[in-house]
Amino acid sequence: MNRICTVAAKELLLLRRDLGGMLVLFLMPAVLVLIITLVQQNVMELTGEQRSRLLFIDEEQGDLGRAFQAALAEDSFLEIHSWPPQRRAEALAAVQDGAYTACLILPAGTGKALRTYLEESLEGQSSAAGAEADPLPPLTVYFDPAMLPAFRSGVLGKVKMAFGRVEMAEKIDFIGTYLTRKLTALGIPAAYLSEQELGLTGLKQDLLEVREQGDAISEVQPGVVQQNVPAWALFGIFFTVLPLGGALLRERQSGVWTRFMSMPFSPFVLLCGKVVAYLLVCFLQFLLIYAIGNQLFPLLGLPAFSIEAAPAQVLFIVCAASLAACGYGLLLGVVCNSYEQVSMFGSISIVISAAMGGIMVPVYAMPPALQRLSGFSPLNWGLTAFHDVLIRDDSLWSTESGIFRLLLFFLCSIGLAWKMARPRW
Amino acid sequence: MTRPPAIAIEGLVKAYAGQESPAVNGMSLVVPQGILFGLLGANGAGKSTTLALLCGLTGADSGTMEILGRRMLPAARKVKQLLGFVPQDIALYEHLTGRENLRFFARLYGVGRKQLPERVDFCLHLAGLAPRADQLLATYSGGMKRRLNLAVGLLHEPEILFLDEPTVGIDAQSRQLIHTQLQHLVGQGLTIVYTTHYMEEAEQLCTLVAIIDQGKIVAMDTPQGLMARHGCRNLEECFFLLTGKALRD
Repeated sequence: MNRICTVAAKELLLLRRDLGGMLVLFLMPAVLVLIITLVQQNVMELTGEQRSRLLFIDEEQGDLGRAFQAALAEDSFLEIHSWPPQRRAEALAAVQDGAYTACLILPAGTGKALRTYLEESLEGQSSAAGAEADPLPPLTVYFDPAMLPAFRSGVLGKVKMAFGRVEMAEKIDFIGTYLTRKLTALGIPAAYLSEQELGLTGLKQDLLEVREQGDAISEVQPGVVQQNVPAWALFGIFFTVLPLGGALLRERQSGVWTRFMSMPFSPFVLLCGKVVAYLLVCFLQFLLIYAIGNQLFPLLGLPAFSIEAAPAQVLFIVCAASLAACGYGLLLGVVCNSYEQVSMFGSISIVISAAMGGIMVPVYAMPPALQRLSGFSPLNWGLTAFHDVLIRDDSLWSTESGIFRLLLFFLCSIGLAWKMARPRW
Repeated sequence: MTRPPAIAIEGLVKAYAGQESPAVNGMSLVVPQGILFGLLGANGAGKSTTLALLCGLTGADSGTMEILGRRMLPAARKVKQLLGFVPQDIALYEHLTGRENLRFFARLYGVGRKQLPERVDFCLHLAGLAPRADQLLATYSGGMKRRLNLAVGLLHEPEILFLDEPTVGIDAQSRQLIHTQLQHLVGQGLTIVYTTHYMEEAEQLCTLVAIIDQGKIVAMDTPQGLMARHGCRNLEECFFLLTGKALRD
């Protein structure tokens, strides 16, 4: 045990003095998680997967405007910011700059124009035909020019729905008032002419409901933070194969391993010491990425990444992924014959594994063929395990969990490294 | 009670795949304790393989090896504890200081916590590196690195020290220091097995030399005994007489 600790301490000391290695291990995943998450968050906003920030300018300044704003606010996908009519130019500039998704302008006199139209319509005047009547002032919507067409129509649909609901309520109110006035003129007492008595209240409610099924399906698709924090933490963890494999290769080439072979203990102890050191490095990496996700993301307007649901299980996943990465690093260290081979083969294989495993693009967004291939990527096994415990609320120990695959990968790779390395020392 | 020989090998054979003849081909020899034993041979003669077998780096195909009366196998950890091995390469860490290198290997050899600072300081003084002990190895000259390489083999106070060409590529001063220290260590009872290409060095330092050619020992005696027996003026003449001048690699 003392020898394992001695080797681990030496590895950490060497790593501390290797600035390039430290940058690869800590700075690269930190920068990646930050940039990719922010980029994907922006893409999700563009495609409507996030709440849309809408500016609302109520030039009408009446009941219709207030009712419309309340109807918009009921939609959980819309975030309404009300600005006074005096800031119209400023609001349009903000939308043009992309600070808001769209700006809705309700023109002055809309409510009055609607009531006039209804009055004339019910009285059988010009609006019965409608052709020659002045058009009602339209609700104007200005979109951020960068918005995708599909997303524009989605937002427009929500706005039209809210506006239609308000219009319907206005019509019913007006009909109620109109009927009361007419019936009062016929001598019916006002007490019998309330909205309830006329049976109009129920008409304001949505009777035909659209219900989206499959909450469970939507839940297994992680948000941008739930996707990226574990994904890039895993990417960083697997990048430890470069310094680890390089260190082992240098020892083999410098004759240090020949010296070790003459010493009174099994060199397997030395492999274990290296694994212990890099396990610690991987935990520190994860801690850094977790701190970014948990503390920095909220400051940037992103949701916080939390492991409160299953902290012990998450640490176990980090441990299993780190072991798998260490095993792979040791294997590279004995298979490769030059540092160039370690760095090229190591980095390319990890990038491919990351791309295939859903680190860069979520697996559910990949074509079906690639989705099947993703099951061969150790990074995917780690990511799946994270999603299992943090999103799906599944057991870490289910047979389909990536944990077992990661541990098996570690055992196979370190065993192979040991077997292949011995004759060459 | 008679002391067992430092090394006793009998009919040792080691062949590598793809090579026509074995690297070590039925070698037998006995090396007494407390001497500086020189193993001389051309490149590819079998010197390094013999050292690898004696240090347990690899196993023999056949034959027996005894170190201080104990059977030597690659897994014989108790026997390995009695040995110090100094490879031909600078088998050290460039980004550790001289002291850190020594502390690391001392701990691996199982040097106790109490003895560790004392052993490290002793080895630093032995290698003449005490003033540069806390500087990174990367800043050392070739001679300094080779002296430290040698010192590592002595950290755990071995009874036999194996040196694979320890003076290759270093300046005269470093070579002189290494010679002095080796003679001093032998004077204290350490057995040293030493491979070299430098015949003059072997003639000057070694108590006993063995000349290896094509995996076999072709002659073994004191340098003076060899020269007298073959009527040579120096060891190099003896070497060419016994092995010929044809290239071996």
